[in-house]
Formats: sequence, C-alpha cells, structure tokens
Amino acid sequence: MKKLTLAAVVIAGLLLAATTLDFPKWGDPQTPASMHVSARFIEKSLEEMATPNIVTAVLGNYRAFDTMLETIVVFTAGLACFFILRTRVTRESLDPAPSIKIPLDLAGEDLVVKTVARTFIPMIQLFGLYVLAHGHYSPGGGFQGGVIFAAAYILLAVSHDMRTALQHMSERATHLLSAAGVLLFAGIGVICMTNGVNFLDYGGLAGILGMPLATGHSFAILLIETGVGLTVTAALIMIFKLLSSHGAVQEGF
Amino acid sequence: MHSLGEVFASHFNYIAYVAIMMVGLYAMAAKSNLIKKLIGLGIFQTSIMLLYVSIGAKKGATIPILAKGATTISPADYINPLPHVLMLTAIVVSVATLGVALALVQKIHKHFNSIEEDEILKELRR
Amino acid sequence: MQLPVLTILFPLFGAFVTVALAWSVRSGGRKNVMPIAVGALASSAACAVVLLTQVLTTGSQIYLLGGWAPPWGISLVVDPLSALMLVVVSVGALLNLIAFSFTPSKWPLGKTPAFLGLYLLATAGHLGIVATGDVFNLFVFIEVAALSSYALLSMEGRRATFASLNYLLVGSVGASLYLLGVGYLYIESGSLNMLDIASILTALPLSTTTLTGFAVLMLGLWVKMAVFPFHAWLPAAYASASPAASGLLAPLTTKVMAYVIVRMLITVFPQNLLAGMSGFSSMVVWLACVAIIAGAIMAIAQQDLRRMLCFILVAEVGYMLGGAFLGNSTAMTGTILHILADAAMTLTLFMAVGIIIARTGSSRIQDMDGMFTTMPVTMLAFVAGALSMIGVPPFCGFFSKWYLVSGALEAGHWVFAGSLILSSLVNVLLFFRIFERAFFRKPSVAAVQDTGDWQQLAPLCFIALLLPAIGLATGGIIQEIIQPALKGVL
Repeated sequence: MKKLTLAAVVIAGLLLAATTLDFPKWGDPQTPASMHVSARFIEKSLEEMATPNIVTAVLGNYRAFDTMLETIVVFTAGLACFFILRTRVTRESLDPAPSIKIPLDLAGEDLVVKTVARTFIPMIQLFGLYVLAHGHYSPGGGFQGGVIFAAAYILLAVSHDMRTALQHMSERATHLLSAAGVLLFAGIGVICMTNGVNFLDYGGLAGILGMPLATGHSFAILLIETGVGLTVTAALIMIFKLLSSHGAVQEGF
Repeated sequence: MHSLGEVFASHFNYIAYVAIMMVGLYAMAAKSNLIKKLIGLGIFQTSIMLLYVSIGAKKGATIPILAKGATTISPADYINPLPHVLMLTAIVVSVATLGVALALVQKIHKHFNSIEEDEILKELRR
Repeated sequence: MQLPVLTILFPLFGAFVTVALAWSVRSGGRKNVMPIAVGALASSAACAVVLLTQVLTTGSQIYLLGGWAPPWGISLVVDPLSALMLVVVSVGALLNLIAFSFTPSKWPLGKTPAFLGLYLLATAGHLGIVATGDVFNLFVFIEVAALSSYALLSMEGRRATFASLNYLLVGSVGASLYLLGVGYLYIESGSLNMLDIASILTALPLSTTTLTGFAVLMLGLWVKMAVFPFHAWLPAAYASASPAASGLLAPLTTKVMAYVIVRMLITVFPQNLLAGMSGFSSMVVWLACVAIIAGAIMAIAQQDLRRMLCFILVAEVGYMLGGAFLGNSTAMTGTILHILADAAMTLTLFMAVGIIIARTGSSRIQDMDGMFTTMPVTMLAFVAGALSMIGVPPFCGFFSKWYLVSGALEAGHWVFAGSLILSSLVNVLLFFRIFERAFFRKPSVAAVQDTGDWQQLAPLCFIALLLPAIGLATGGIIQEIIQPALKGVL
C-alpha cells in the first residue's frame, strides 16, 4: 500500500514538474505576473497612500478585503478551538491527564528562568508594538506584531504557570479582544460607507477626519493593522491556553 | 534550443516546489499518525507558498519597500509585491487551520486515547 | 448601492457581536444571542432578495471594495445567477437556524454563542464564495467557510470529531490545490480578477500552464465538492454531526462548490479551452457516471437515514459535475437548475431528518416505524423532499433532471443519461422502503408527537412548499437567470 502511494505521488510529481517547464524563467522581470497588475502597485502606492512598504499598501488598502477575511479566519480559528476543546471545569478535570504533567522542578520554579523572562517580556512587547506600527516603512504589520505580542504572553505562561498568565489576561479578555479587533477592522469599513463611498474606501475616513487623501489612507491602514494585531494576539493566546490545558483553561500543565 | 541543464537551472524553484509538495502529500497519505499527517499538510501548503514567492522574483530587483527620497519609481527595480501579499494571507490561513486541527487531534486523543489512525478506525468499528 | 457587501457583512457582524455579547456581561448577554443571529441572517436574506429583484430589473452590479477599480482591487460581481445563489444560501441558512433554534442545548459553558458565531461565519463564507469576482478572494472565503464547518461538524461525539479531522485534512488539500491553480493562472495572466483573467486568457494561445492550472483548480474543487473518489469525507462528516450543523452544510457546501465550477467554466476560462481538451471533459463525464452509480449503490447499503441521504448527495454531485462538463447549454442549464433544486430538497430532507433526530434521538431506518402517525407534518415534508429527489413532477427535481437527461442525449452521451435514470430508480427504491415502514408499521413504544411546535415546523413546511413552487417557476428561472448567464458562452 505504501509503495503504491509512493508510486502515485512520484508519477504525479513528475507530471507536475514537467508542466512547470512551461513557466517563464525564474527571475525574469518581463513576465505577465510582474508586468500587469503589480506594476501599478509599485508605481502608485507611495503617491496614493504615503506608504513606502508596498506589501503593506497592497495588503492594507488595495486588497484590504482579503486582509479583513484573513483576520476573520484567525478569529474563526480561536472561536473554533474554544468550541471544540473547552470543557466545564469540575473537580475531576482540575487534575487533567497526569501523563502530560510536567514535573514540579521543571514547571516554572526556576528563579533564573523567571527573572530572565520577566526582563525580556516588556522588551518583546515593545518590539511587537514597533513591528505593528512601523509596518508602513519596514517589513512588519498587524499580523507579525500580533504574533510577537502573543509570543511574549506565551513566554510568561511557560516560564511561570497558567495561573499567573491568567491573572494578566483572563479568558474573557481574550474573547472580547479578538472580537474587538475584527470589529475595529470591519467598523473602519462601515465608517467609510457612512460617508457615501464603498466599504473599506479609506477616502471616506479621510473625508470625515478632514485629512489629505494620502494621509487618510495611511492612517486608516494603521488603524486596520491595529485591528489585525488585536485579533491575532487574542486568538493565538486563546488557542495556546486551550491546547496547553486540554480545554480546561483554569488549570493547565 | 536551450540545454537541459539551462532549463533546469532557470526552473529550479518550480521543480523544488513540486518535490516539496509531493513529500507533503506522501506524508499525508502514507502516515497513520495524525500529527505526522498534519506535518505533511504543513509541508504541502508551504510548497505552494514557495511557488508564489518564486513567481514574484525579479533578477536585479530589491525588496518592495521604496527607498527614501526615491524620485523615479520603476517596476523593474522592486520585486513583485502581490505574491507576497497573497502568501501572507495564505500563511495566516494555514496557521489557523493548524490550530483547529491540533484542537481536533487533542479531542480525538481524549476520546480514543490514541492518535494512530488505524487504532482509531479499529476502535470505531468495534 | 451597498447591497452586495451588506449581504455578507450582516452575518459577519452578527458573529462578532454574538461573541462580544456572550463574554461582555456575566450571563445576561447570552440570552440575546439567538435573536441577534436570526436577525443578522434575516437582514442578509432581505438584502439578497432585494438585490435579486434589482439585478433582474436593472442588470448586473459590480461592487468595488475600497473603491479600487478592477483588476487592482477586489470586486464583488452580482449577476442574476450569483444573486439567485445568494438568496439560496442566506434563506437556507435562515430557515435551518430558525428550525433548530429552540433545540435544548446540551453544550456546557455558553457554547451556544460560539456555535451561533461559527454558524454565521460559515454562512458568510458561503455567501462570499458566491459573490466574489476575485479568484484569490474566493480562496479566502472558502477557508472562512471551511474552518467554521470543521468546528461545527465536530461537536457530536467521538465519531464526529474524527470525521471532522478527516474532513479538515482532505478539505485543506482541496483548498490548497485550488490555490495552486490560481497561482498557475496568475503566472499566465498576471491578474486575479475573474473577468480580467478571462479577457487575457482569451487573447492568448492555450498554453500548458493554463491547461495545468485548469486541471489542478478543478481537482481542488472536486475534492471540496466530494466527487466520487474523493467523497469519503462527506458521509462521515455530515452523518455524525449535530442536526443544525449538517442541515446548514449538507445543502450549501457541495452546491456552492458546484456553482464555483460553473462560474469557472462560463466566466473565467476561455471557451476554446474545453473544446481543446475534449478528452478531459469526456473523462470527467465518465467520472460523473461512476460517481452517480457508486453513490446509488452505496446508498442502498446504508442502515442510517442520514448516511443514506449523504450517499444520495454523492450521486447528486455526479449529476451536477457531469452536466457542467457535457458541453452544451441544455446540460449546463440542467446543472444550474439542479444546484438550485438540490439545495432546496437536500435542505428539506436534512431538516426533516434533523427534527426526527431531535425528537426521537435516532435516525436509523429501523426506527422509522409508524412515523406518519407520530410525526405527520415532518413526514409530509420528508415525502415532498423525497419525491423531488426521485424526480416526480411538479417538484423541482424533475425539471432539472429533465434538462440534464436531454442535455446528455443532445451530446450523445447515453451512459450519462442512463446513470441518471438508474439513480432515480434507486431513489424510488430507497425512499419507498422508508415510506412503507413509516406508513404501515405500528409506531414503537416511545412515540413522540410533532404537532404544536410551529417554530420548528413552519420553516420545514415553507421549504417543502417551495419545492413544487421552484418546479413551476422553472421556465421563468431559465429565461431570466440562466439564459443571460449562458449567453455567448455555450
């Protein structure tokens, strides 16, 4: 059976590899992919939205609807993990599957680990904020910043324990934040609509705030990136808590 | 007509994507451990990201962040940003899928006390 | 003006508000989540209906998201066909939610709001797949719909959880293959907008890249649509899920994917493509024949009512696939009619069976004894759905099959026509076996009455009455919706 699978996979791979020879050469600047739609993005994004990072410009503005749905996918994943895993905390479930219990001397009792983590967490969070806010000028943006922020929280949880982590951010806070992020993003779109333009047309927001058009676009991108960051942070923290505690959230480890 | 070596060199990324994709597909089809299947899925999805990012490459171009004070902007100087945008979205989607998949595997482990597909199927038939 | 996006935004905002409300107040907010969810879906359905009337009177609408003109921005394209599908998806989701809204929840800890949130997200995903005019945006919508579906389908015991993980693995591969096909199209055309890709590809000679992209993209969609060799996830996932979840997803997912295939064939890919790949399309029609016959045979072997319906669904998927690839406008008309008809009758049947499960706790065929005396209204609706599935006039299933069979004969494909008729005969056998039990045998001891609960039965009766209504409106639907969509195509 395994040999049959291997043969099928190899044949499919050879066929697919043969078709790739029809592709333009790698690195060729004269391909349709590089000439048609993307050329305008490179030429116009600075003028239209004062954002030198073209990836951010496309992500946050030309294709902002994709980005909104991407954020909704993350929101859905958090909600789905809650729906699948969360268990009611009873006395029995307070002592979940002892086989995965980490021995006490490893479970966050080490002074060095705790101290180093406590020193580094604020710096990581600051870096996350920088990545989020500086996405207009350098690689970065809401998703990357949100992931770094969530990583800081996870570092807290693994260096201390789940109870400490929960004191800093409760389960309710993560759910509210993840909903707030997508609401912020889609809300910006709706605010634009109230000014008589289409959904996510940031010109509407610029009009309301009385900003120049390009500045308004740039500002709106920052706002939606913040929304993305909120949802990503909250949803990843939520997924981490649920997975690491077998759905009990209160206890864990 | 180009020699085979030249064609191979200029299409190396594309052939590599197919190879990686087949590794992922084989892992998904042949392994019975559910986590290994998920790793296979991850490899599979990553290969598609490699394809897209390869599409965006341009020889002699730099990252799609405009240099400070650039006056003339020529598309030939910056690599194609669109595939990168698309793959950012695809990466996020695959992360989300992996999260849900791990939650499902954990629940399956709770129910069956196993993450081997053949054992679970045996248990279900009983 | 803003209707196309509002149709999608209402369920999305409904989901966000549901989650926010459930966690904002200690417990008071949780009581209001159901009205919010129903309200969101009702608003979405109202938008879709108004949109359909607008599109029918004033012509197609293109909605530019962010105000960016295509091909640079993403646009929603609502023509008569997609407007009709929007109505099908939103009304179907609304009726199903109302029917199961009162079912007492056995989920702990306020999982009902999470369920509703996921339900709304799945609906929004399907609506977006139908409305979008951008091939990559379609992928993201597929994933929104899919991720919420995996979670919705996993929540009924260990069998459901395992089936849902299998669905996730298969579904992710399907969606990834679709994404790969989009990549090939992007290499060839440099664009992601459907209309733009179509105009570029028509001007170019057919290349290996286009053909491979087409094949890979279709393969991905077949996996998501549960075409025969890739069908195994469907019965496993839908037959073990909770009634509310399978009642939403069984009618919608496969039909929306069939719609995407139709859309790709009539809008995105150039018309000389299939003509140039006649070997490919005849292979697909043969595959569809195999799917129809295999689905029918496997349906006979089932002891569980819902599993039986799932295998009938596998056969129906074969109808739609074959009709789309037969290559004449009669068959394509039949496919589009069947997408509509199958959505309506699958919804009727799954809702009826879901109500039976909610009441008696069983969907085994042997427990169907005397159902006509204990649950007459539900059974009448079930009969309506079953007759439509068999293809009895004036139910809508008859007309779509009529067009499919005439299309097959027009194309000279006797085997496809034969498989269609054979599978209809098998449906007769399957459903009359159930009618016989339910009508003539004595009900079992713990009989429950279904009378009086109109919140549950009204949506079911509504959709059951819609079956002959759609059937009688076939002429109008073809003239107003299908012919404009196929004009200049086939």
